[in-house]
Amino acid sequence: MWWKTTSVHRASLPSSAIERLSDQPIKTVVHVSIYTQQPERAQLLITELQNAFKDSDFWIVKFKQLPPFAKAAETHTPAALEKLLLQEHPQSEGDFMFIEWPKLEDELLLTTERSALMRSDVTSNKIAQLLHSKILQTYRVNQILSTDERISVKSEAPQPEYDVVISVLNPKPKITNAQWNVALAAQTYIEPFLAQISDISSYTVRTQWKYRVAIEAEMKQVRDQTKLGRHYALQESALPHLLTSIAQNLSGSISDRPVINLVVYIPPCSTGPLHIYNKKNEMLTRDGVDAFISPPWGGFIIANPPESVCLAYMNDEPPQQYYVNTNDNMQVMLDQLHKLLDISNEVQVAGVKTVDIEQLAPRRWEYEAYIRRSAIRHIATASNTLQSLIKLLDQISYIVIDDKVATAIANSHSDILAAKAALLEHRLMNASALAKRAFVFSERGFFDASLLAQLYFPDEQKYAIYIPLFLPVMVPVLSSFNMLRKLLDRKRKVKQP
Amino acid sequence: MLFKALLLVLAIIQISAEEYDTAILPEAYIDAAERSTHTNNWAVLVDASRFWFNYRHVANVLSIYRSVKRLGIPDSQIILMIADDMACNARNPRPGQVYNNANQHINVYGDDVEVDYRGYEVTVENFVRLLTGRTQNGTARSKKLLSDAGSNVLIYLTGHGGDGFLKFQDSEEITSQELADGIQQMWEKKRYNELFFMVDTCQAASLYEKFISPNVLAVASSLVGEDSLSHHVDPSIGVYMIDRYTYYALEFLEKVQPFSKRTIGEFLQVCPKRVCISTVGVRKDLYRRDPMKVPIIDFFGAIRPTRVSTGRINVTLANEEDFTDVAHIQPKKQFKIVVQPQFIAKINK
Repeated sequence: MWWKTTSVHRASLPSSAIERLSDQPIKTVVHVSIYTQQPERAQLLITELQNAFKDSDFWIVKFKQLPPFAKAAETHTPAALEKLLLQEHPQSEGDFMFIEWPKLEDELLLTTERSALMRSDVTSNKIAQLLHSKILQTYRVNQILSTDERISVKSEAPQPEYDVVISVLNPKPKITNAQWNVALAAQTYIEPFLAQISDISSYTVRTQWKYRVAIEAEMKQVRDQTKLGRHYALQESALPHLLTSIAQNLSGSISDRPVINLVVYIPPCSTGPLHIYNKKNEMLTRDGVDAFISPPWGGFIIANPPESVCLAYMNDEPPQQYYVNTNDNMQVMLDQLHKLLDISNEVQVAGVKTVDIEQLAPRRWEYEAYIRRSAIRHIATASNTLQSLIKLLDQISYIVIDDKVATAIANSHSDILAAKAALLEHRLMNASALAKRAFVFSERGFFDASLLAQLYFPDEQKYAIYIPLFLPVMVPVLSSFNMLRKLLDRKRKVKQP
Repeated sequence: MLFKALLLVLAIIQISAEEYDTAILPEAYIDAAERSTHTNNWAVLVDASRFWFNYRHVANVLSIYRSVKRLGIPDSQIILMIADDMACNARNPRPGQVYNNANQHINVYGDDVEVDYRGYEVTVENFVRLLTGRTQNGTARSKKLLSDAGSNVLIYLTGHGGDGFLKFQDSEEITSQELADGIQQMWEKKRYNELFFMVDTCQAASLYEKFISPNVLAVASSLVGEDSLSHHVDPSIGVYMIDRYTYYALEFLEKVQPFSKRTIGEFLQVCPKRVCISTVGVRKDLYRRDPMKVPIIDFFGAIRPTRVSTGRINVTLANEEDFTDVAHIQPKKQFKIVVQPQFIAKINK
């Protein structure tokens, strides 16, 4: 009974199946269609590209030729041609299409949808290069799946939930009387944008004003030709320290979700306008934007007050009330979000141009590459987590595995398999949802607090505690057996004679 | 003929250029391999013992806290566990201050200390939960070690120890096996890039003996069988101020600036036997890089990767006037303050 009451409850786990998870590599099917005016050319390109992708470790690229059609000659814009093609051959998530457009300036032009225009003389090499670096982002997937710790990614996998906190810092409100309806600005720009990219993570937006939060950095006065006659220089190398000095006052740790900070800093006129300088003493301001990011912490925008406000300050006039420019700052903030969430792809390929984004949503191919990458990331992370958890549970036999943990592990395992299958069957969104769920389950299983409950009661201690307790109790029991035997012997002896 | 000669010359130039390249390569390669790949820094600083006579352990842990904070690790990435409150102890003649020496040279308490686990929260269970990430539901985010594959983690322990254990409070102890298990679990879940383990206690070296996880560099104030000694007494408070090892470590760290070139290798030699009396133990076999080439700020500082980004997304969703329109700004609710009389004077009259 003692043994039974002290035994550890260990629910059964699909251990061997989880150990076999890494045997089956993650492979993704991608459909790429090519439209050219001469069918022979498309045929040639496809044969060459098929060869190029034959030995790929991660991709199964299925190339398809779109046959020329009569109406094509009548179209005058690439957009119209694309529309016609899409009517004939609808695309699903993650697909891509190359359309020949002879009058193109660059070799290849990436649109904001799932297509690229190509000039008639583009080689298959160039197309393969574009697919690897921009559409499939093979090098990033390589980083995710690499076991070499120097190459492998060092950042966290995308979490299911984030807080986005927009903080407006106005250290000296008596000097710079800045007004801004930042909540409305966030509702107009940030929330709709985040709503469009919430397949992987969901976001909660909060805004706040912070007064009297000074930044700690050395600011050097520089003479210039403006009416103010001077501006202040902030060294690029001082930026990390600056973030550390303000991070504490942003109170981001209140919620339980990871936080993405978006800071708009309004320099007081005593140290403004403020611009960022690099080591070579060059001003890094472009198009009037002074901003920097620090993934995954967040972004920082310096919103210098207008000249007239600081002029009034310098002439000892009463402070002017002014409005912070919403469109200006929000455009920069959107770009920062693209970079912070790792959606935008900044790799440059010679001869390839990318159309600028002119809507709120990210480029569709960029976003789908992000979803594909996140799905692979989630599958890889969840598999690793499960495998290390199984290893741990097998190693230490006295860890309790309760039913909750066991279900989480089993669910995660089945979701991983389903997600892998979905990637192979060309169902990207489905795979992404499954992978995300597998990731959440695996984290929940690994970090479950109950896994630690009996870590301080290993088997050796069980003996150490119970043997001294039970052994003395056993002595009278055993000796009573002896007594009984003697008693029986005596009875027999009495009967026999 | 001339053409051939020209080709030959070109070829020679080519070859010599290539030779030059290969001569350069290995060093650059080694340099790249030696450079840390971390992206963020975390510090877990633990004082495991309580009571006034253990003042020195609090001074120890606050010394390291002061240094990592000064060198740039934000408070959100420092987990500070202090088992007792010396600054506000009734016996402290200088309330709110903790010094590292009798001359009150450095107030290690500073102006701003964020303690994450205090008093009776400092337990073996909480410490192991912190390391393994298996915190109980409802644990605040600031009390979690949220490190990832790019984190360099500094773990500093101080208290009373013996062969293979470190005493927590006066009731329990963590064994070297539990520590090694905890760190192995961190490694398995990719929760650190490199780990620097520092411990200042008696027989400190016994605590890192069981480590098996890669990329761990460990330093201990004394070898197995040796006591770690304290530095000096402050007669005005009647207790030892600080331990020898941490005293010299702080002395070294005070000279380090955020962009310093000082290395971990130098730091490992801060307390030679003639000043420490105990022998400082170092374990390097799990560590891949040469400590003499590792900057100390890889563990004691924080480098946030920052990058200037001046791009913008050209979308305009509303006119500027829409945002400045006063109608949108909700007026602040008017409220009236009523001051209730605290003492009813009428009754007294």
